[in-house]
Amino acid sequence: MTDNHYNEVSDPQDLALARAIRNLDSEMQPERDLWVGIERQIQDYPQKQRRSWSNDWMPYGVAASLVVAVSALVLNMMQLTSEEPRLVTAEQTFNQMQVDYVQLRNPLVQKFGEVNKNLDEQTLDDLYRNLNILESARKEIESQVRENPENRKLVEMLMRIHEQELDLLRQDFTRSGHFL
Amino acid sequence: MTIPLYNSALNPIGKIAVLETERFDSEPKLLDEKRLVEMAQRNDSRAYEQLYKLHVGRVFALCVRLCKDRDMAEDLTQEAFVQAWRKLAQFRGDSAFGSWLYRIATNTTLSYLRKQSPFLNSLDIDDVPEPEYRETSDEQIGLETAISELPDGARAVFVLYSLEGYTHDEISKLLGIAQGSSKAQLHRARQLLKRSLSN
Repeated sequence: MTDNHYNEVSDPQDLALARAIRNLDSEMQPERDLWVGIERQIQDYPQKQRRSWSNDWMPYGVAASLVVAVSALVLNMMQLTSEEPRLVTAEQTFNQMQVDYVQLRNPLVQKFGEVNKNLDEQTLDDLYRNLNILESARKEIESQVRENPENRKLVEMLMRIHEQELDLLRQDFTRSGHFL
Repeated sequence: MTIPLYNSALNPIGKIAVLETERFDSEPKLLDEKRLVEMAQRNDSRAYEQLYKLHVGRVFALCVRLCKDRDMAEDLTQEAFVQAWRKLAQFRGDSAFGSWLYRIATNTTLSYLRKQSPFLNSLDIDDVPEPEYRETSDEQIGLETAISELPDGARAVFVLYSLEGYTHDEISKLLGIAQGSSKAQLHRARQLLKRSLSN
């Protein structure tokens, strides 16, 4: 706003105008006292106290509330979006555990019959009865784990049943002379 | 030869006010404008009154020269100070308070003038009349009078450019005209003023 205050002046009329502008009064005084009217009007518009504690604190309070609200929203969204993958993961773990178990169990079952086929009939009945008991327990726990795949205690219980069953099937009762 | 057209006495920067206040000291203190503004921003109407006393002459002169009606200029001056008070919280001190205040006064006055259809019509450079040649040159016409006799558009551009230091770009935005029109209005104003002063 200041680059236009200096002009090349050479014409006498320009000189006269420049001189007149320089001599122009920069101020004029109004005839009436304007302050009375101004004071009356500004009283209706008090200045806001910009540096008061409450005003200083307010933006931080709002910001903190906003952070809490956004965090809660993000956490809820994360929980919502991650709930299904977590179920799938537990199910997948359970399914994989079942696959591993079957892969171990089936050969043992076939071998079990071959190894213990020479046992007496009563002993074989007792062995298979126990295997059936373990199998019933395993199936019961498996159904519960399917319903609650994230229940770690149920999963651990199922794993112990698997181990007991596999241990039983691994036994060569013709050599040890006893079972369980 | 280079002659500065700008009257340095119009520069509002650096004015000092004398403010008597019992709150800080029983002795009168020299408070600079910045301090007065800070006090006014804390709702101190006495400080604002000091700012009013510092600048009312300049604001009133601006309003008179733009609207050439002293009664209306008084109302516009009052309105400008009320507007400035309402916007005072927005003033950050990036410029001098005076410059900020004069812009408010300029906008207040131009806002009033825009509602006057003769003023709007006068902004069109085609409507600027040719300077009248005065045969009766025995009376010395002062510049103040010559300015008041300028067509509205030419007067507004001359006051804003030559007295208030606005650029043609700023004037074109303030008045809603092309920069070329602003330059043409200024040229025409200077021609009219020179002829008036020479008579």
